[in-house]
Amino acid sequence: MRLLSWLTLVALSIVSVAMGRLSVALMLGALKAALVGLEFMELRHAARVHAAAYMLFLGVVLVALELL
Amino acid sequence: MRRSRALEEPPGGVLLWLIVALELLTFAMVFGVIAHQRTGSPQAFAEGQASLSLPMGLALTLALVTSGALAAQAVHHFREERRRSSRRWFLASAGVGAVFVVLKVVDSLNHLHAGHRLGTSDFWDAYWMGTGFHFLHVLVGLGLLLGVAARVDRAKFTDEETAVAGSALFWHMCDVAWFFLFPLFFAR
Repeated sequence: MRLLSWLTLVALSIVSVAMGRLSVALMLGALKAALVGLEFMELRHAARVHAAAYMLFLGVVLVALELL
Repeated sequence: MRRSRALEEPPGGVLLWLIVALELLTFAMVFGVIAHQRTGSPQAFAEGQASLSLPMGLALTLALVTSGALAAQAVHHFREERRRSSRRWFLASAGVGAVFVVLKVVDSLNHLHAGHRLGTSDFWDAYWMGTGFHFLHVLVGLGLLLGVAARVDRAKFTDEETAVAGSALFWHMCDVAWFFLFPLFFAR
């Protein structure tokens, strides 16, 4: 699962650079942050409220940056 | 070292999560300032972005995500009581993290030689503030990784969860912050 997560992160990073558009790159950034949170920060093994709070934070940051 | 789903026992420990939460909130404010400057000075951002190297940006990103994956692997091995191999994974993670540091220093020196300093334009003000703040966190995270690697198979930690998983958690926070900083500076 960690290897798959790393490969996904590498692929998303390359796509983000290739696409070049800010709104898409921010969305991919949030997606990568979610993956790092769930898998590497082990939030998928934690209490659900911890994972939910983290996802909420990412969502708020993403929406705020897209609106700015 | 077992994982727990208890509310009061998040992976990495409560203390490190409090620190990481505060740091992420601070980073979020920095992102907001950068996004605001980006909107307010489109010309300065367009000119500044033309001086950035996308391959360098990608290399920095790949170094961080690879180092993060290696740190996660180190924590996994530690949880399975394979302390010697955990140490090796932590060292590998720190090694790739050091690649990020070297690349960032080289990139920054190139920008300085090209005259892109603080005060040059709104873009470079935001760039040095955002990436400099992130770089300080990377240095702290790298120190934590090396500190854990030095002790993980030799000493007993008072609080293993905070020392081992917490140090990796701080390192992953550097990844998360970079995932938002990168598009704000590099995406058009």
